[in-house]
Amino acid sequence: AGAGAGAGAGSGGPPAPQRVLFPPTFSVSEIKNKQRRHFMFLRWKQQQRKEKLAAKKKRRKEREALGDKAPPKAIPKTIENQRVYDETTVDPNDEEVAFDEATDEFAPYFNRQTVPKILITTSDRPRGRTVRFCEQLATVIPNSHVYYRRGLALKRIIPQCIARDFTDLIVINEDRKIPNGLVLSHLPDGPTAHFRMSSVRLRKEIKRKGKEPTEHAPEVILNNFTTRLGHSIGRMFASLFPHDPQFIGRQVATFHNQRDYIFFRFHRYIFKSEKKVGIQELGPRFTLKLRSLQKGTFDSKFGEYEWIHKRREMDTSRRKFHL
Amino acid sequence: RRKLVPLRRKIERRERRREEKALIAAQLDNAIEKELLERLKQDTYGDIYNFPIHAFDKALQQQGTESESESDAEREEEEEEEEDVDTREFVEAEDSELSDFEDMDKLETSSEEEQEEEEEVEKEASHSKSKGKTPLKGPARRKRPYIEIEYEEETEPTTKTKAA
Repeated sequence: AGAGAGAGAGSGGPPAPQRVLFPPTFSVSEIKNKQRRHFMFLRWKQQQRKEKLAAKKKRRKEREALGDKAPPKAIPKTIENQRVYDETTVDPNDEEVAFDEATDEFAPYFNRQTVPKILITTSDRPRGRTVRFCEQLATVIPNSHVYYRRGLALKRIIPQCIARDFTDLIVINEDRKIPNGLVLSHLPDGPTAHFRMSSVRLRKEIKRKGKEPTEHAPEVILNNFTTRLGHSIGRMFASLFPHDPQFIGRQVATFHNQRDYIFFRFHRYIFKSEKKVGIQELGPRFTLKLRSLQKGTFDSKFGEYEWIHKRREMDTSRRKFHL
Repeated sequence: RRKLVPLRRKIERRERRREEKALIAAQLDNAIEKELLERLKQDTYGDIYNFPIHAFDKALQQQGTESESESDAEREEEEEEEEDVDTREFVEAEDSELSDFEDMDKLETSSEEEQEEEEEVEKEASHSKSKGKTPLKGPARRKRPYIEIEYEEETEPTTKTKAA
């Protein structure tokens, strides 16, 4: 009987009175006719929205009425707020971490014993986009060289690189004409990180009117690398760039970690006043997601993995991140 | 020869969506700007940028601040016309002449025709280092302005004719 009354009112034409639906004991899904059901659903939705708006207004009036005594506004929950606390989060004052960092593979860089020299290469037979991306990446990172790989095995390249004093090796993997992977290997027997790369934008695709990056050494910003793993990855990125940024160049390379995605941007900044800075994006942009971190240099079979992304174990919670 | 690992569609979709959401949550431009301003505050850039430092401003607020910023200097100088005497104390070694130029400018007019002189002064003043170093040398500095006044007077008639 209730369903009949509702259906009867629904078929009475679009601008039906709104009071009809008010306390129905039927749900909209019980109507068999699709058109009518759809119509009733729309009306139900409108009703919900009205109620919500009314509730909001009421709440706001109460707030204003209370004035100063009103309770403070609730902070909305974000994924960053609700993040599962990771026990490997680095405390700035942690001595053990500081000691580890003083003796790990990047110590020579941070002690200024080595100057970064980077070799950029691709997987076999790169296509146009990848080639251009490599070139642009080479302009962004000072003291880097691009060499094309023609079927040479990485294991044989690495000793040659070490012999020629390279400190880092970047391999950009390509799939279906777009770059989709990045292997970053610190050379004198340093850790190797394997990333999945996505949303690569070349310089001409970025909406900006800037010129090309100059040869000045850029500054480096590393945001949000909180855990131990994040720290080591951050240091790995930092070791790509020369120690002393040349502030005249006013260029900054940013690695921003958010929910385990590392966004890379390259900007030129200018300080308009003390409280305002303008940035203009030059340079390519891409995002990385860490897949694995290996202790030694690139060795897929026998390497000792420090961290691998295991989907079944690590992707279970939406609020748990590892970097 | 090489092992091919196929993508999984569901995972791809999930990753793409998560990446988009992370990008929105990241608010990269704001984060970068904030970081740059932080670095400016912490003086990592040294003396390349000369903006009135807030600590100095607060300390000198009663006595008046001497601003050497490149863009806002003109307006701020117009505001601080009264406090010339004190600002002269806070002049550093090298470019006191130029800051005295500024003082003289404040005394005379706030007309726009002065701006060229002020700009030149600012450009030279912008090479100077942080302020407030030489309160002791204040009395010694005061002798110089009198010399500068003579120079100023030479240029005065020209500006006055312009103003007229």
